[in-house]
Amino acid sequence: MSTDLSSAEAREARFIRLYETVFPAVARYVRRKGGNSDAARDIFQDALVVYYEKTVAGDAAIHTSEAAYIFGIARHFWSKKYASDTKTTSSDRLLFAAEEPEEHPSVERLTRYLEKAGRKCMQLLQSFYYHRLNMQEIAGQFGFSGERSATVQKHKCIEKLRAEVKQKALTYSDFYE
Amino acid sequence: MNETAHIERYLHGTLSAEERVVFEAKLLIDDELAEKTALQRTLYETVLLSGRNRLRKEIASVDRKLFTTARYSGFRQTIRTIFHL
Repeated sequence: MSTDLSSAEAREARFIRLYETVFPAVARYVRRKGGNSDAARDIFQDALVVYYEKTVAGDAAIHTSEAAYIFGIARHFWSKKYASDTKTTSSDRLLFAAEEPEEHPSVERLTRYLEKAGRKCMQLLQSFYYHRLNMQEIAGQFGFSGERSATVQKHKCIEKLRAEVKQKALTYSDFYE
Repeated sequence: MNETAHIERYLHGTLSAEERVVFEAKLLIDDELAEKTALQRTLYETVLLSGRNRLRKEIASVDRKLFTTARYSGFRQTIRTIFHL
């Protein structure tokens, strides 16, 4: 199995393969529980996000069985989003407690602003912190001469966007709560 | 070390115990450093959230492709059979 997920194309290929190999089992599960195709597609997308983040973080649990892992997460999202009357088991809750996305309206507003103010910098920082590429891969993708130059750019981007956050913090008082 | 990198190591918990004590002492007396640290923490949260939102869009577009384009009609047939459509 290829482990490269560093480009949007590589991610797309991986997601398509996972739809073809794992989604039918998830669909059958949802069908058995009385759900429809839209619900199955919805929870499968949530499951792929968790799968992706665990994979780039190097979580060993995924490598034992990718399909079983994704199926387990999808089942969790089914209980949580579509079967609120059925109880989620306590072990499920423990397992996923750390992964619930936290919603901060002010952070979302700031996100939209920063994506406009410094698109390229946002992409560079996402590549490093979210997609967890190394400096060599980042240098390749963004056309820097090498790791050293990519590191310098990363620091410049942090400083530039940190200043933008400050600018915005003056406008909205609810950034720090 | 560069200040920005130093703040990052503090926020990511990779300073040594000794370095951390020194850094936290500085935070108490240096308002500018404290502000930069708070802003940088907010920036990291924002980067992670926006990275996740973009990934969601990539996945949604894969979903659309699989459920609309001719190339994947075999896949759709499998799913339709499951839901008896």
